[in-house]
Amino acid sequence: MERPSDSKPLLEISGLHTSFDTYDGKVRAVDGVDLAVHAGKTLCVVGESGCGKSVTARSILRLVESSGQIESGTVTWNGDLFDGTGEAFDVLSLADGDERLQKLRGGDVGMIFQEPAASLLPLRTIGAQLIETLRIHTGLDKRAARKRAIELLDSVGIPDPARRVDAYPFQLSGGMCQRAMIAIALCANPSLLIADEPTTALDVTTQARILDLIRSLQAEHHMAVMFITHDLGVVAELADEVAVMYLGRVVERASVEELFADPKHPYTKALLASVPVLGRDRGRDLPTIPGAVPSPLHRPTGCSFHPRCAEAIAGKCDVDDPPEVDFGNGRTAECVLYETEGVRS
Amino acid sequence: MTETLLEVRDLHVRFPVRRNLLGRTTIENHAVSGVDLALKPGETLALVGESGCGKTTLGRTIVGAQKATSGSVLFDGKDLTAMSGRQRAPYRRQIRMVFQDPFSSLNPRMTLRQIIGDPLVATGEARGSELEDRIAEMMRRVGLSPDYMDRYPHAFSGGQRQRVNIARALIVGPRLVVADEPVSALDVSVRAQILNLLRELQAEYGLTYLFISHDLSVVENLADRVAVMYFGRIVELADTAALYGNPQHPYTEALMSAVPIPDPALKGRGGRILLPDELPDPANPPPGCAFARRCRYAQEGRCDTGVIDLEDGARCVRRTELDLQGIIGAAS
Repeated sequence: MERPSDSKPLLEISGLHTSFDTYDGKVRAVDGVDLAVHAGKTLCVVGESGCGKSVTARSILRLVESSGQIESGTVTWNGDLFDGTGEAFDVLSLADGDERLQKLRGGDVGMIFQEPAASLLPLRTIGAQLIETLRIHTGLDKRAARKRAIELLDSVGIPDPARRVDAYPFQLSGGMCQRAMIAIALCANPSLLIADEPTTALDVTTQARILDLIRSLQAEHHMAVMFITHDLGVVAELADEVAVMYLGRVVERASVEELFADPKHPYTKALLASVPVLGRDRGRDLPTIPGAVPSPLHRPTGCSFHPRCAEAIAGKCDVDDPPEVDFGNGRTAECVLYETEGVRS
Repeated sequence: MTETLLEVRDLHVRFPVRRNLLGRTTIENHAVSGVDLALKPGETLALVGESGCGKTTLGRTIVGAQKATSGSVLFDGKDLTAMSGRQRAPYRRQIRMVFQDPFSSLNPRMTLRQIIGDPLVATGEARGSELEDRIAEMMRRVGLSPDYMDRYPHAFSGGQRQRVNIARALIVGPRLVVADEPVSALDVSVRAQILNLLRELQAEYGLTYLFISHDLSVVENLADRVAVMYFGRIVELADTAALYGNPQHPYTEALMSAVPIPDPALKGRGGRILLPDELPDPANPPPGCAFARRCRYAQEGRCDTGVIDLEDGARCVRRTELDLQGIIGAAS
């Protein structure tokens, strides 16, 4: 029998536009993003600062700060449909107080952020923060929640959890705080974990252990992961599917193997070439991408990558919006170079 | 002409944590505990290690921004730590620093002309049109248009600001540049530009670099030799190819195995070493090897007692017994 999760993604973002009002004008941080996360799989969203990857992630749970607004688009959650507790619904069209939104935040969808120490409340213990989330989402009583909290801290690899449950964030290292964050995110057995650069502020050795932890928890709970990063090494290590973002748009989508073996978009190609790789690039001048990421306030016309693109075609790339070329199997690139290839939809 | 430009001898830096009623320090953190280093003119030595290992403190002590508790820093054979501020002044232009964060390290109220020209103005070395010419020349050299001279840092991207930082460091003609994580805060697509620029400038001006970084891929790209720091000590020091291809200290091995490689074909490659989080207390360093408690090769009675010296480039009593894994392709 075919289950709905075989054909439909767990989460589907479509035509998302999120913008921010600033003194200098309106910034279109996310400018028409389509993404899908499949149950049990890992989608890595990769891009540089200002590409809109974090805003995309925050828009899913409508956690955009007050100067920003989600202008249009849909975020379809199929989780309730899959587990038979309800129908699919659009997160963005729910009323603010809708129960389903509360159930999603911290319940079906857990989220962890870049700076673990800054994302935890400094004046409350790790345990108090974990117990609060547990009680909201699982209905456990105080004593049972505390017991569960200690088990969770243990499962994310915090040594001596019975003592650490009463520790304040400042008493723990960055890696330990991130583990505590993960414990909070996982406490209601989410079907999706959104991780926004969770290891960027950590040392490589700590990063290796956190990535390992996320991988093993994912296997154990059959959880989907949306992992946001700028580190191509982390992408190669974790991803099933990859979306490359540049200035508010997804410029390429591919399976991780395809992306590294045969990048299509000139930005992806240039990015892969410019990163030094261990054991390969000693003492060698690296290929560079000229210029810097432009401010989203001054988005170039046409393809927003064209001023930095080695393959840009004058009179075309700087004028026309690039087509999204569909190569089939979920592989796409937003680039005119492939206009004649692929299955145009 | 000496063979060694900079020599660091048994350098210790300790920070007071607590004092008693009489103002005497009762607890102190050991940030740098007995570092010996020598830099040859024109080379790039990288200092790598995790946060808190003392690499930044060591760099700051070399440029004179931090006082040494004991030990010496010799530049051209002269002991800088024994000098008064006045005696040291001529050396300030020979040893310059480039900082990590291109946003907070530039004064937002100063124009690029003021920022880059400041060292020349402060030393009274140039003024008027000569000052302007030298600023313009330096800006061109680091890839900035002199037309931007009267603009403020906020108008520039991270990569451009880092070019300003480099220009400010180089304008007085230093011989040694201490660069503390100069590319860590930059976008991936801009990093390569700055790394290439550092290499070009080194060749052109014959600069010596002490390059502080936690990023092992960047270090392999730029450095001639690498010193791995752990808990205030150098635990391994070797030529880049040798260190990456054939590490001699278990900490180096673990550090390298933790770096994610941008190649999905290597996904789940064996040999990743997951270190437990236990860091020793910097106020109370353990005897023997500071890494022993996290080390999978540690042996009781050998690794946790006495003083372990840096021998044959590695501070490990078991270095000759172990067959440690390096990065494939690094040694060639």
